[in-house]
Amino acid sequence: MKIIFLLLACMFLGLGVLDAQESPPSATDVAALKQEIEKLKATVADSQTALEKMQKRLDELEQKGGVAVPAETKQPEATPSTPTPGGTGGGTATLNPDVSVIGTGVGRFSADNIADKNKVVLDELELALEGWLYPDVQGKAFISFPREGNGTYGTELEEAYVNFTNLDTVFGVGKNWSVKAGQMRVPFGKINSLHPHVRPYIDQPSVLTNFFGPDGFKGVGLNASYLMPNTGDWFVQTDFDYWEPTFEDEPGTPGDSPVSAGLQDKAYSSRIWASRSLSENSELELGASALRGRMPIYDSTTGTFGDLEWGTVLGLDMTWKEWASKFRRKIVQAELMRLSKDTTSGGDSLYGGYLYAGNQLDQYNTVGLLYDRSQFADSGFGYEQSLSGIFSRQLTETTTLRTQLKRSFGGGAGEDDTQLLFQLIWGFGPHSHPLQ
Amino acid sequence: MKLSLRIGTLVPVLLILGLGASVRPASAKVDVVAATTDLGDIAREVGGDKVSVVTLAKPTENYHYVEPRPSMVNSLRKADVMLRIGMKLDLWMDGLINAARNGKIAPGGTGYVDCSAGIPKLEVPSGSIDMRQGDVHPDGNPHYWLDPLNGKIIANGVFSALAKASPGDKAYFDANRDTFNARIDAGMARWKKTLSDERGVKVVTYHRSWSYFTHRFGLKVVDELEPKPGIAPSASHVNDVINTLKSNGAKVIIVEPFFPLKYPRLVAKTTGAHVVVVGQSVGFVKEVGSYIELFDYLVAQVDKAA
Repeated sequence: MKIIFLLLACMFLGLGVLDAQESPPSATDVAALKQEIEKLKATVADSQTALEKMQKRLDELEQKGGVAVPAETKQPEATPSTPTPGGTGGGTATLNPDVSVIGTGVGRFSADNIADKNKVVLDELELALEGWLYPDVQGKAFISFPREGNGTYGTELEEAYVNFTNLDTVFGVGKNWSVKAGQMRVPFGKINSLHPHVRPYIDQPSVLTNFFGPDGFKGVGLNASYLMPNTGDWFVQTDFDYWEPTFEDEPGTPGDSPVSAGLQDKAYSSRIWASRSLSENSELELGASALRGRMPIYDSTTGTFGDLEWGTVLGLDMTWKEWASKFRRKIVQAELMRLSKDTTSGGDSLYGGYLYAGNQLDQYNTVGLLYDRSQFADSGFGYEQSLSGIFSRQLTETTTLRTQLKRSFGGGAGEDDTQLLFQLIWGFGPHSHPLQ
Repeated sequence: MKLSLRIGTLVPVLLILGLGASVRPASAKVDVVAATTDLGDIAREVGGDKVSVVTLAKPTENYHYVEPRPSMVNSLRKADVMLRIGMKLDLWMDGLINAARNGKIAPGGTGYVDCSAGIPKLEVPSGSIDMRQGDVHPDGNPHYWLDPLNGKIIANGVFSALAKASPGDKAYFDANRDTFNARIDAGMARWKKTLSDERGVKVVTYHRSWSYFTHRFGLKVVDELEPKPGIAPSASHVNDVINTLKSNGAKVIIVEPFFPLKYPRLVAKTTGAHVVVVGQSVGFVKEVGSYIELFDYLVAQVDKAA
């Protein structure tokens, strides 16, 4: 009986709830709601009128010369934004690397017998990927698509390395040390480590081509760099490196084309780089580099390269810069290298170097002069030398147009020639370079 | 017993020495390296005689194009605090910070200060951002120090870093910051009074670097000699600027000393406007020895030319 009563009670209660939900609103409720809506509409209309009046007044004031806010002014943010740390190397909010593309177009014009003459070509395209892997650990990869001799484009890994910018903060030891590991342009001498589009002239200095190959000295290995403490006003950095060079050269025909000595197998190098301000506006950098590596020895009797033998390259470099007021900057840079091979017939030393002087006239224009001279892989080939006048125009932050008039003369490279070169360097993306 | 005594004595000595090596002596000044003279001056205002300040870029340089030098690394390697402009105006600092191998001033370090933090930024581009807009800054206009009220925000960031570097001097830095802020407020009153007649005065600038200054003091930028930021003026654009000046009645052309004066002078000659050659930073001329004197000078020059 009790159960039946409870069931009936639940039924009536449930029906009551349903009844309450489905019962139509009363006329009073509807009227009240309508009244609220009308009130709200009136408020909105009043606000709209007030807004129009204020806008009209503002326009009048502006016409009379009142306060004028630039049209593109953004209202101050309610919450100040937090800046992303650092600049390049992975500052995006999505954890993607910084991606940049740099293209270099080159045209060579000459009445003389030179390679690739009277043509304008895309010389190289470089894709750069840079990012932070960890605090004080950077990753960088540079993939280049250089133009090959037959006019096609190859794919090369220009550089790919991990850079521990501060060993002490990463591992707790190694104060003042940084380490790079991977494939890279070796920090040997002043210019070798520069990407081609960073140089203030178009062609690579001939000493690098003749001693190391058309791409200079690149390798897979380890670079340990130490910033020396307690050096007073001097910045002094030393580098100690081990490399397995990635350059391989094909021996050419003696007398027809110069052949690079090249480096194969393994190499050890070191560099000391010192710099000091001479005044508020000028700075002097001095560098000394040494390399010991295995390279093929050229046999002038057979005209071929034989077994690998150890050889040594020593280099000295100097850079003087002066910054006058405004944009003006003068630079004088010189580098001299000596290659000695431990040939079975006795030592054989080759020399090469360059001297560059540049003057930045204003924000957009720079002029320069370059003297370049180097012996070929074997002193039997003689040497090549050239003198160039260079004019560079900075079109935008990432685009440069360069003209170079180059006169090659003397030596054993064949006839003298004169070339007019043009270079257009263009790029997009936050590509950066380390301190050089 | 003797050995354990030696070890027992040695260990705390070594600990003390180790701690001493990592803790700056109380009497030593906080070493501050600032990217620009403005940030450096604000550091001196807040830090007083408890800081030693070195600035890297010269006040006459264009901060987009400062060439980093190896000698700058020497200052950074021993810095306790490093102040940068940020907003990708001073990307040249990145190579220097890496080369210095100083964890304190690396991004995320206790002494790393991006002075743009907290700044209400102007001209933050929206939509697609690419180089068709010129050398556009994706984070907004980075010349924020040219609004004196932003100087107070910069001072806050400097104060926080100095207080971390030298906690015992926090009250001193705090008092200095308050004094600096009060001087900014007093300066604002007299600058606004000086330029009250110039509110709404139309100006032309060479580069889009004066937005914060003109916004604060009610000047109206009607055109720029660069057709787009970072793009050199062309003859046709200069002609357009001349027409704009004539139709708007603009009287003042503001240009920094590191830009070519050829075009500003041509425009001034044609329109009767006045060229005001002024730098953006402390020390660009002898009379501007501090951040506050910078605005004294800028306001006076604009008032004279308008």
